[in-house]
Amino acid sequence: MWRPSLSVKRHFAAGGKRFPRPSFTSLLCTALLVASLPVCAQSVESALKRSGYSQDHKDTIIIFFAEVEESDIPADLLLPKLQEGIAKGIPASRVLGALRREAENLGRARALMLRSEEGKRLLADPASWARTANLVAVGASREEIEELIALCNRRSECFRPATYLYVAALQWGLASKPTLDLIGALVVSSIPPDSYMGVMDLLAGGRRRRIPPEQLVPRIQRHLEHANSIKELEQWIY
Amino acid sequence: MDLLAKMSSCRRRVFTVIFLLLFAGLLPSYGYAPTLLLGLYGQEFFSGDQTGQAGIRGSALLSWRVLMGESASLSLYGRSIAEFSPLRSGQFYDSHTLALEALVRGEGRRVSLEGGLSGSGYGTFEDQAPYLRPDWRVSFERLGEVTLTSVACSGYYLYEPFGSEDALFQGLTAGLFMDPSIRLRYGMEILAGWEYWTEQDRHDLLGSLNASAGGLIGYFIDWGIAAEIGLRWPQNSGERNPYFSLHTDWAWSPHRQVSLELGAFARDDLYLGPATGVESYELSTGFDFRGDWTPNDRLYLVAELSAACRFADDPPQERWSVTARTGVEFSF
Repeated sequence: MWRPSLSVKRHFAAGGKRFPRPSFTSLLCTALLVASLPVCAQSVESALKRSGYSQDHKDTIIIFFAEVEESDIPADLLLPKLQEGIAKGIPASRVLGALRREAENLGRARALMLRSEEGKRLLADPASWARTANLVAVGASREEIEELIALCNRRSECFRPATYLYVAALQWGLASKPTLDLIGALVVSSIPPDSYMGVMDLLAGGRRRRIPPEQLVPRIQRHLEHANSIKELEQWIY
Repeated sequence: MDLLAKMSSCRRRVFTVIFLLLFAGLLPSYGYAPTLLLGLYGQEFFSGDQTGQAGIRGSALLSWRVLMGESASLSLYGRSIAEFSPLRSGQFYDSHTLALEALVRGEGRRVSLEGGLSGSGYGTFEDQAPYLRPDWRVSFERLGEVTLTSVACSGYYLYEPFGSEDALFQGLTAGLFMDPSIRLRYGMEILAGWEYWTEQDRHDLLGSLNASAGGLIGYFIDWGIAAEIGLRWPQNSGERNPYFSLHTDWAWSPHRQVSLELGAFARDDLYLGPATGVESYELSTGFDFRGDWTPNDRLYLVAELSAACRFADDPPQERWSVTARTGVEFSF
């Protein structure tokens, strides 16, 4: 059942006969937007219903999602950030700022992925696209991202685990070149992609044994050809 | 016929292993750069029955692995520690370890032969009398997609020239380990063993069941926890010594320059008489912390702190100790 808003009630109480124009326009826009957009917009609307945001903010967010869809960025990629912001009670202006940055990163990631055939293939997978946007967000250079895309050319399922490993290894202090070499060897090995993060454990284990990572990485590469698991690698490299 | 085929296949495998070990020198070999480490530390030791004892510690470590072909390797590990406590009657302590391992792998299988020698000429800082202890272990592992089954035979001989606790141990271990993901691994190991105390002509039977779990948290934290329940059963006296222990380890290296390790343990020993039930108990607990920092992967600044205490119904058996140590290590 439709309930008149406070401004509408005030308008009628003041003797006004016409429907208040700004509120009416706003509601109409929202209704039209929601009706014209796909299922995702309805998810945006239902997410916003659970928020305590003002109607103006809700409208701005709905319009933002409409613009995002128009620029061929799937709203599904941004929806989790909105839901997270609402769940954590973050103010609408900050959530909107984060959404805009995320959309910008997705746009930059798409431009970068469209530069190569491998990138175009990965772009078809929204999760890989989102992951590339994350790489852009953490400051990975164009060359680094292109190299990662090229390394995972034949095994696109390796792309996301490889990029997680790449970011972690750089954060740990390993240089870009040996990390990319290592990822290249991992991608063609029998190690399951969801185990790639175990390489960080090998590097830390080597460090505890006072083996510098620069010595350990070639050892790992050497044995990857024969190992089926990280556990197996562990027996040969120290 | 099948049995004959299996026997010959098994024999072939044994011959392959022997061949690889005997003629290792003829195979194309490749040696990793050996790790050679020297350390110098200052330490302070406090205990319930002594006053604080300052001391210095020196250590040397050598670790080296040589690959033979693509399916075998030999590794050497040696470590020596010497400690001098000028305030503890000027006493000198030492301990040494030398270990050799030969590893041969085949399709989904792995065999390892290990032999070692450890000892101390002057006794150790932890009050162990001078000793010599050769040990050995042969293990066979079968690797599955996410499982590892292992069977091992291990033993040692403990020789104490000034003590009366010389002992020969021989044990058989069987284990099943699961690695469903890099974030979680778990396993179980069962041990049956026999120990012969040569100077006391005493035979003990030993059995234990060990359950462990571990894995990775995020990218940089490695954790492990193990619980063990066991029984020592001296055959001559009819006494029994069941025990329960719990052990956990955490290692965190958020950056290549930093490493932090924390371990904690608790162990409860019960001593049961032939017919009288619990005669005495001991509960030991403690922790170890080790942290280090390196600016260049050569020089390491190290800090260690460990504490342990033992509660018992027999007051002389109760004790506690705290050791703090800091120093530098240099890797060549």
